[in-house]
Amino acid sequence: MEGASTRGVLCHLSLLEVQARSRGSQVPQQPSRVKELKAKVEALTSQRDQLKAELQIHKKLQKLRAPVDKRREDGEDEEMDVDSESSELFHLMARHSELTDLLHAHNLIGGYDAITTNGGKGMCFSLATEYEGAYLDTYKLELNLKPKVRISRHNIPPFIPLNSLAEQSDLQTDVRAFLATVSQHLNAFAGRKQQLKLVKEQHKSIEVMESNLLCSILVLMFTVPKDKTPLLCTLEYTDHTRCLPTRVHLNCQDKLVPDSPNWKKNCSLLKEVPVHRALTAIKKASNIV
Amino acid sequence: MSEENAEELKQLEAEVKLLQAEIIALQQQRQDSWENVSFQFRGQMQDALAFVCGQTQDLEETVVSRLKEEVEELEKDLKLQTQMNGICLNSCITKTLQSRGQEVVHQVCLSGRSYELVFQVEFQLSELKDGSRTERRIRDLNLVLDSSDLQSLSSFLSRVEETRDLLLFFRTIRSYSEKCDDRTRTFQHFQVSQSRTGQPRTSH
Repeated sequence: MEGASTRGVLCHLSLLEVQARSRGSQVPQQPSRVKELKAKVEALTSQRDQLKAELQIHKKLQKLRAPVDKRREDGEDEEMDVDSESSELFHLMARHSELTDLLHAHNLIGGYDAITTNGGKGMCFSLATEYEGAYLDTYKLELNLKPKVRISRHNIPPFIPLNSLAEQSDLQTDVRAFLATVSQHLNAFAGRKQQLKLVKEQHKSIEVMESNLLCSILVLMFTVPKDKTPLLCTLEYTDHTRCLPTRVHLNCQDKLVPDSPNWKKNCSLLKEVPVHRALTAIKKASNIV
Repeated sequence: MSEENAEELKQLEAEVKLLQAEIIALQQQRQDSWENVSFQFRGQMQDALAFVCGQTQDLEETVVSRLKEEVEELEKDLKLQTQMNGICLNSCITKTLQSRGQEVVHQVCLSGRSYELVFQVEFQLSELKDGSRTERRIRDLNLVLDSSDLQSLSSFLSRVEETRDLLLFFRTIRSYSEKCDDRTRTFQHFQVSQSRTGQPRTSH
């Protein structure tokens, strides 16, 4: 009897002890954990409210940017009038986003991204290049406008004859014509360079024997399937404003090959179609390995 | 006492979870909606947004005047680009089709004109982050020209659509429409001078 009740009391005592100890260690923690979470809830609530507001403003600005006819169709014009509070701000925001989009579009379509520099005494242009949908390098050109129009700084490679192009297009009276000519040369160069890159990537069986910086000469070595005869093909791009060769010349130990009707056709093809694609067609016709 | 606190803790933790889920959903919504490049709210637009959300101490007139100033700068810039590029853009609508990891794909619809030549251009623009560089590529180009001279341009148009040479298209129509404009003005000049000299106008 005594044993059981002693055990019971001891048990109860130790239980109270444990509770007191745990209470003792919990009490100082609880308020700071609660404070921490309350602060977190506040921060997250503010973030959520900001996102909600942003989305509402997006919607409103989109409505403002939609063409007037569409708005009337959707019966939304009345809605707009009711919200005359801060409507000047919203119209400005809509116009701001519209202008930003239009300026971005000018860049996408290859515009010059013209900036005035040096307090209006100069202008800087970006000359974008692109070939078959791939945006390539962009070059920069700065002009001094006063007292005379002069080419200042640029990063255009030296094999593009800037100075003679400037003379040809009369830089003093027609800056746009000059820029258009430089852009034409740069884009043609970029196109030829890109074609060379694609030939190396897509046609590993063809050896590039020679090419120059301007990519105006390209010498390729083909292998003709019959007897694995090597065939040397020289492409000359004498018109530097174009991406296609003006002259195709073949050299082969077997003199019959270049004169064959097949190869006469292939030479024409190489003058009409970009080289990487012409080679695909020639391979398909089994004229080369 | 400890029970109350435990209860409060549980409530707060649940609230945090709820808010976090809401925020993720809203962020996804922001990405999925018709998104224009400019809706990234920088500079004065950021300030204006903060004002609308009631998060600044600025007066409305201050926010409005600063934004107005920035809008005027943008209008001047657009005029300059229009003049130098010889292309007048009326509208640009962008929609994000895909934003996965390193690649973002936009659908872009542009309309405008170059001198008298009116165009509508639609294409997909893919931007792939490759280290510090971004590779941009045009996919699926669609060109619509409103021109009385469509015959001479139609083979050029279909070729450019196929090769997706967007920049070549714009360089070409600019020089083409410039020449047409020159031709028209020269012709008009001679018409006027003929009528002045009293000679009968030739019909064309």
